[in-house]
Amino acid sequence: MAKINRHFSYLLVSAVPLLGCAGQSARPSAPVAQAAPASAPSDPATLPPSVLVTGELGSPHIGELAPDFDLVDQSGAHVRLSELRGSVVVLAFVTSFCPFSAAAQPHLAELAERYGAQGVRVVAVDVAESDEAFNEYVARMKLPFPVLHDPDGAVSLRFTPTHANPGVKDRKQVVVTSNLVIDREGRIQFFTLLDTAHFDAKLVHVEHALEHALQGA
Amino acid sequence: MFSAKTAQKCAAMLALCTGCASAAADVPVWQRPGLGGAVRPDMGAPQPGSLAPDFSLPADSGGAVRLSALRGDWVVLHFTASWCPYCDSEIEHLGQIADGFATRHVRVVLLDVEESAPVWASYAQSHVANGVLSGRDASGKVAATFAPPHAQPAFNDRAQAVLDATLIIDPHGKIRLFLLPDTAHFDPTFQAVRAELGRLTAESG
Repeated sequence: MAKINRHFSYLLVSAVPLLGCAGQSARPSAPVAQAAPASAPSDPATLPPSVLVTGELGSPHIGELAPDFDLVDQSGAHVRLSELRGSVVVLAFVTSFCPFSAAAQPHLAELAERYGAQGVRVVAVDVAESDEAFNEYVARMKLPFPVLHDPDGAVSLRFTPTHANPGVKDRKQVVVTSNLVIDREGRIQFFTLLDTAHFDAKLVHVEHALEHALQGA
Repeated sequence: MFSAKTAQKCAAMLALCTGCASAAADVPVWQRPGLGGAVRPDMGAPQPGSLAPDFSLPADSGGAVRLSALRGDWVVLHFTASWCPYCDSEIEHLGQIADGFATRHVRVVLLDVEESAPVWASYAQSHVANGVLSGRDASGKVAATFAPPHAQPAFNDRAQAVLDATLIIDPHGKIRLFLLPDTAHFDPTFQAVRAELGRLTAESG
């Protein structure tokens, strides 16, 4: 009964934009996850993040294998995603200029340090920056995990869900400040796009997904 | 079958949907379609209803862009940067607002935040429409005066908290709408801003 009630009220909430206030509607360019919280809605860790990449947004999405890549990090070492199979991976897309990226970096570094002992690998991909900008960025940030240089954005583009944020012209930029959690088999367990109105600088949702991925092994 | 709480929710939803015109005033701005980025009261000043901070900055066309000199006109103020992919997707539509609302005494003002003169000049030349009054806030000091202290609290550089923000300022210099970016409902053609601008300028005759 409780379940039916919850579903019913959820449908009503979903229907509101369809029923009323036409003329001011700006159709959301990315579907917003509206799943009812499972429990304790006051605890942010139990709330769904607002823009989860599900099948509606096209590939890649949660449940699919992450596209493989081979990129070079700040020390000159090659990192191939498929070679990290067996580890849970947190993959973050960053740029030197994005203030949202910058605000999340200390928390990403903290995750890397806190979960390193459990075999978690944190990897960032710097999206489409020049050699000069990339080198300045890694020297300034001194991040304790590999930051990979994707100079032309080709890898970033392969991670851009086909239908995500269609209003953004430069498609490879759609994934800037996205976070993924990839399980030990290389499957995407968690994938969010930047949501500026509900910005999760402390990566609460990423950590929640990370715990889930670690338990699922 | 359904709990009292659910029934209450139903009633609230129906009231909202059947009486949009009257209900609109009762619904917080950020819950209205397309306005999810509206600043919340708990973010702090400046807020809609207060005077917009004045500024005077070098205009790209020479001279200065001074907000208080535009009193008597409506102003759409937008903060941008050439590297920002959301701003870059929006910028071409600012000229359409300037053209479309010119007869309603609307001026569109665009401020570039924290970029060097050559970087912005090169970008502005190919991206800023003629009808848009643009200027450069090199230090970000002006942008920072618009940043509500509790908006994006994780940002150390306060100017960046209003990057990609859009305000509607009335002929008395008062803020009437203040939208921070909402990437989950990205609206590159400013449909919601245009709707608000249409409503506000029609109200003022």
